[in-house]
Amino acid sequence: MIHKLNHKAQEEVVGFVMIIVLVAVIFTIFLGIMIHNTKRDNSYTSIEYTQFISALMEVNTPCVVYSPAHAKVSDLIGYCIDSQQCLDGSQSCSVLNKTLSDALSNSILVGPDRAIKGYSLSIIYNTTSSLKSIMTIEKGLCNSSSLVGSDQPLYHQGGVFTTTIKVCS
Amino acid sequence: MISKDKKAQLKIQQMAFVLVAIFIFFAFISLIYVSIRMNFMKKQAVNLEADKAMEFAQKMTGVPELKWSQQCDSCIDLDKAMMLKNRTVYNDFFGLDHLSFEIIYPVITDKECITGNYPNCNKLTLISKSSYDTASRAYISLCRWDQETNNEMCYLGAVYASGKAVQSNT
Repeated sequence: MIHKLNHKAQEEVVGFVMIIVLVAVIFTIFLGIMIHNTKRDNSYTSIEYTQFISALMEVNTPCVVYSPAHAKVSDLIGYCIDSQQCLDGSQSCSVLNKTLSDALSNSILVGPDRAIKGYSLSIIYNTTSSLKSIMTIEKGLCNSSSLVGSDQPLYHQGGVFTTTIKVCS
Repeated sequence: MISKDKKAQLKIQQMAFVLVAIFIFFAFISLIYVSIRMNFMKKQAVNLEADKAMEFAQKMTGVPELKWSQQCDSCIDLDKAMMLKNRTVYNDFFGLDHLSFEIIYPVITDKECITGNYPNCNKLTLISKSSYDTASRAYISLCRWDQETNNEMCYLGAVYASGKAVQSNT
């Protein structure tokens, strides 16, 4: 009889432990899903970089196409799409590349020890018949899940060119 | 041989222990979940505060005393700002403890703008009280009229602002 009672007590304990383990597993899975969804929310459109792109589009470049005004970045992108030259003989795309690279280097400091690990700026020209990558400027390493950025579309001769910036931290 | 009464009491005790254990377990899990969630919400709150401050800094570009006359939402007139620099009547106008502009690109001489060196300078401070909190930054275009080319020149710049007006976003 005592032997049977001991077995019964052990069965009760095993049953109790199994319930606890089952509940623990279910909640761990639930917690994992919640944490995973939280991590995904780190990517978002940043007001800071929306302002950055808007301001960058207004910057005057060294390229003069229609004298005496120095072309703005937004205009120079259009000239680059049309493969126009500046009055001093330089290619609009080369001037655009240098201007954007220098502006980005001066504005966004990247490095493995810095808060910002890398960035990428791309310009894509989209028409009804084609999608063309005009330029991509990258610096640093962008492999983290924390990503902020923005994009700005502008019209140009029947198409839209979109300037997109992504910054990784 | 355990009597029926004692057996029932034992069963009740077992159930009570199970309930207490499950309750403690649920409380422990809830604590972990709430702390993770609070951490995430704190980060969101910091991002929202930064966005709010940046929106206020961006409002500077709409103020008639500083707005560039052309159709540009993110442009500030550097010439107007230079005129305001020495006018102390505007110190309390914006409700700020600190307001300054900086040209980021292209790189110009690292100097504070005064009447004697303008436009060969890259920083222009309009308001700077003796103590102020960390300034919020927003990217803007800083534009001026170039006498040599007789045309506008716009640079990539930043506006730095701090004060009660930024905190309350008024």
